This record gives sequence, C-alpha cells and structure tokens, in this order.
Amino acid sequence: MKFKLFENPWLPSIISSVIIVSILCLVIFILYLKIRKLKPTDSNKGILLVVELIVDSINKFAKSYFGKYWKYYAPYILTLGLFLFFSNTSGIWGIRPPTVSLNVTLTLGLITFLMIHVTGIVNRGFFKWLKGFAEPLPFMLPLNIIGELAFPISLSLRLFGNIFSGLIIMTLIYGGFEGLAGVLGGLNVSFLVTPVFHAIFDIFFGIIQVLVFVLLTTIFVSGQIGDLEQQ
Amino acid sequence: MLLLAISSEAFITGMAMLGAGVAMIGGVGAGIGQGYAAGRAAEAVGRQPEAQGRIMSTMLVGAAVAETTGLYSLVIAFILMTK
Repeated sequence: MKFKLFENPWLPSIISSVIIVSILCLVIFILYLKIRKLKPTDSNKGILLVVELIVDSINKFAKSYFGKYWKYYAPYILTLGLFLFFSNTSGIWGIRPPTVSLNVTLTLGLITFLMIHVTGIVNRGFFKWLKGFAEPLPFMLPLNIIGELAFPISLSLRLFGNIFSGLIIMTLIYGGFEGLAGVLGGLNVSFLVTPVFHAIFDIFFGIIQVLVFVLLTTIFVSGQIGDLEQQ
Repeated sequence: MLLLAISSEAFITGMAMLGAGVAMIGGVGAGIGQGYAAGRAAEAVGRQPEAQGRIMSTMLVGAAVAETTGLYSLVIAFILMTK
C-alpha cells in the first residue's frame, strides 16, 4: 500500500469532500425554503423539529463558552460539526472519508489557528496579543511560539490519524475476507463481521473525533475571549 | 555468504520496516494515558453519579488528547513503511 501524507489533489478524498459539501448545501437550501414559510407561532414537526433542536443546542453551547460574542462563532461551530460528522461517518455509505487526507484536516486546523489569533488580535489589541507570547516570563518566548505552531498540527494529525487508522483496519479486514473467499470457494462471509467494525471505526470513533475537534476549537478560541472579561 | 547476497535496497527497506516497528512503541504511552483517564473517570462517576454526562465528555476529550502521541508514532511508522 502506498502512503502519502499529502495526496494528489484529484484523488478521491477531495472528490468525496466535494460530494459531501454539495449534498449538505442542497439539503440545507431545501430546509431554508421550508423554514422561510414558517410563522413564529407555528409548532414544528418532523425534520424541522430536529433542525430546531440541533441549532438550539449549538447556540446554547456557544453561549456557555463565548458569552455575549456567541453569534459570531455559533455558525462556524455548526458548519464544522456537520461537515466533520458526515465526512467521518461517510465510510458506511461506501464513500472514502475526506478526513483520511491530511489536505482536508490541515485546512480545518489552519482555519482554527487563524480564528484563535484573529480573535486574540481583535479582542485584546495587537500589542497586547503580541505581549501574550512573552508571558509569564520573557525567556519563554520561543517555547510559546513553538507551542502555538504545534497546536494546528496536533489538531489535524489527531483527526487524520484516527480516521486513517480506521480505514486501514477496515481495508485489512475486507482484504482478509477476500482471501478467505478463495478458500471457501468464492463465498464471501464479510457481511457477518464487518457491521460491528463499521460501527466501531466509522460511527463511534468518527463521532468522538467530531466532538473532540469542535470542543478543542471552542475551548482555545474562547480562551482568547476570557482574557478580556477578566480585565 | 547470505549477508553479501542482500542488495542495499532490500537492506534499506528492511531497516525502515524495523524502524516502523520500533516507532510504534510510542503506542504504550497513549494506552497508559487513556487507561488512566478512563480509570479516574470511573472513580469520579462512582463519587458523583449525577454528573455522569459532564464527566463522560471531559474524559473523551482527555483521552483523545492523550492519544495524540500514539498517533504521531503511527504516522511516522507509515512514512517509514513507504521508504
């Protein structure tokens, strides 16, 4: 098996991420057309109730971390969560998960990195943000800079490593059953065992990684806001 | 002599595979860290069963962070395997 950290841009992960994003855009546009017709006094049913619950819980989550600035961050959290959820669990529909490529995860990590520092500059001012690197003592400066630069790399490698190792184990299991089919006379019995492994590696680990990525993004970005409220 | 019959490409591949195996020793640390987090979370749930939801999410984040070093060694092992 050939392995590369950065894939060729036209390999399946980019294509599958485009597929997932376009399906999500279509579904959300249809939901938008449905929601636009509602009146504030209506009680929702079915899919609209689910959408309302999801948006409401994300808003509550953002309010608990960002205080009065929650409106700037809640849309990004929901977008990130939806994209990561559908891309991590896309293995069960036979699509290659986009997050097995470091191209996709490093992009998301860099977005979080930019968000942290833009929030820091806007909230605390440029010079106070710059001074934050020399705290608590001035000689900690190189250490702090390395720590800040390592954050997006560790965030993206965590997501990538989890999903990629799951994909490799699934590939090994399917390959093993194909070899077994030769012994059993062409009878492939993989359907007896693989649903369990799909449930573990695609759904369970996928959802945990969504939770971790979103939570770490939220905690680190809100760390830049908490400084302001204490002053 | 068997040693002289090995080409240098085969030697490099073999040593890279050996290095990949050695790199995966880093998985031990991730296992210890995750086990410690899970054990402490079980203790906390035993002490405060009503806070199970919050303890669970904290434990999952902590376990995922502890896993990172193991994943670094996994990535290094994969890079070495394609040498």
